[in-house]
Amino acid sequence: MLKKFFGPIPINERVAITQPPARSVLEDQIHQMLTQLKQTEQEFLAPSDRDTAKYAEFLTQPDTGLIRLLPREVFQDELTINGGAAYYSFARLTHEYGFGSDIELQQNHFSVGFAGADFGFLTRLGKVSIEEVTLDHPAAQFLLTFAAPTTEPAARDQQRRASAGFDVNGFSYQNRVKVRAKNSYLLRSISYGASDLLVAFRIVSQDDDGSVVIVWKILKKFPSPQLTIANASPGKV
Amino acid sequence: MTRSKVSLFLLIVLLATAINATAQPMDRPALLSKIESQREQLRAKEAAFLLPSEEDFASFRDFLLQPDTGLVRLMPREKYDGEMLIRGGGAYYSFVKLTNAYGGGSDIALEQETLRTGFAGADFGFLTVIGDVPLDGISLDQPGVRYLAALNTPTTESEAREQQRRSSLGVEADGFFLQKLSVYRRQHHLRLTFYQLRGIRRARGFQSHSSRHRRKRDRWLEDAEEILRPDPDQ
Repeated sequence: MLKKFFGPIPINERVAITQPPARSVLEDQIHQMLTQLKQTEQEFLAPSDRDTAKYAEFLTQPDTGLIRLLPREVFQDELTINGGAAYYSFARLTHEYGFGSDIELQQNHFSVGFAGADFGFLTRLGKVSIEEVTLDHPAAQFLLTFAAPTTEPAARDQQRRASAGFDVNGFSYQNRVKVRAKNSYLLRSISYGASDLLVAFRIVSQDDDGSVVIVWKILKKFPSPQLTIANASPGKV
Repeated sequence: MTRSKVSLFLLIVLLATAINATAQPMDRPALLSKIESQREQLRAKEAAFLLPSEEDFASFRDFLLQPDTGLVRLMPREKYDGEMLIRGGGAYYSFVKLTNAYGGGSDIALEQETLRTGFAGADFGFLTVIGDVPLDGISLDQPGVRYLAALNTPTTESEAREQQRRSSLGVEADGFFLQKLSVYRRQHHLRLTFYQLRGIRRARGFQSHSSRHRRKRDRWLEDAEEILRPDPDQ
């Protein structure tokens, strides 16, 4: 039983050890094991060498990246990363949920807008290359000119609008879109008190475990949006 | 000669392939298995780390034979939250679910040398320091406990929020001060200091788990004794 909890004991120490390890030893072991676990998770999250090589040149540009998103319904409580690496923040460059995330993968859908008055719009562009998606793309015009509301009621209106979905100039915008292989997407993510971004991304590959690798580029960084205190609280739920 | 050259070439190709194969990163299913294995080992290590000492178990051996009792360790949240696999860093405990893992309803937490209750939604609770009295001597009708025992659980959110406000500010009853937090005084021996807690949580469909709790507690005590018992083979 001791072996089960404290690991194998070196032969030369077997006679001497009759008590469980000191708490400080256990604490050090926990720290080391947690570090190793996090390293393994990073390996698990890393896109394949093939995908990385494919976009090596594109990734030399500023504000670009290649990431893997894991399906929330599978990995939510299976990783040390809060949110199970289903989320990503293009502003903070992390999968860690809880401080403002821009995108989520769940049930084979991408979504945006997760806490408080935060919201966003997603639109699918079809099978176009990531290089083709620029601010001049017709679908980008609405997302580029949209002004983030500064009051909570107005932000909540936009949340409802994003949930229902709507069309502008022949393009559909919603806070949730289906994952489709080799498709490109545009995302406007408004995170109050944190960031406001217009991002283009394309699905590079999808693994059997449901994870999706995307290549992305920030097309526009807007000023950090704020809600006016008189009418609303920016507090997150 | 030609044949031996061909054989040598094939051998080199075979070796090169083998070396290349070992240089490849692990495939994703293997990595996932490795993560699961590492998590399992870490969970076991943390369970051992969270266990109270053998001396503490011995001190309360008879007491712990009673139903609905337990002996747990709380870690200071400011130091261990995020530093352990267990959610909340072992700083929380649920007397209903008998776990240190935060989420889904916890009753008590240790943070900044303060014990707290009431963590999410409309959940709330009161803590009070009874003083240096033995645990076995606590009764439901004594001052300090009576108020908590008689407290009616609100059934509407507005009433629960009102109780939350009261627990934040603190209330006095029978000469005792009850609040949602209470400073943990290091100079008091925990064995002699009893923190009476009444926690109210939203209905989550909890059923009566008394027999299941007993079984879980018994398993927990058996595990604890097994872990702390010196291995005769060593």
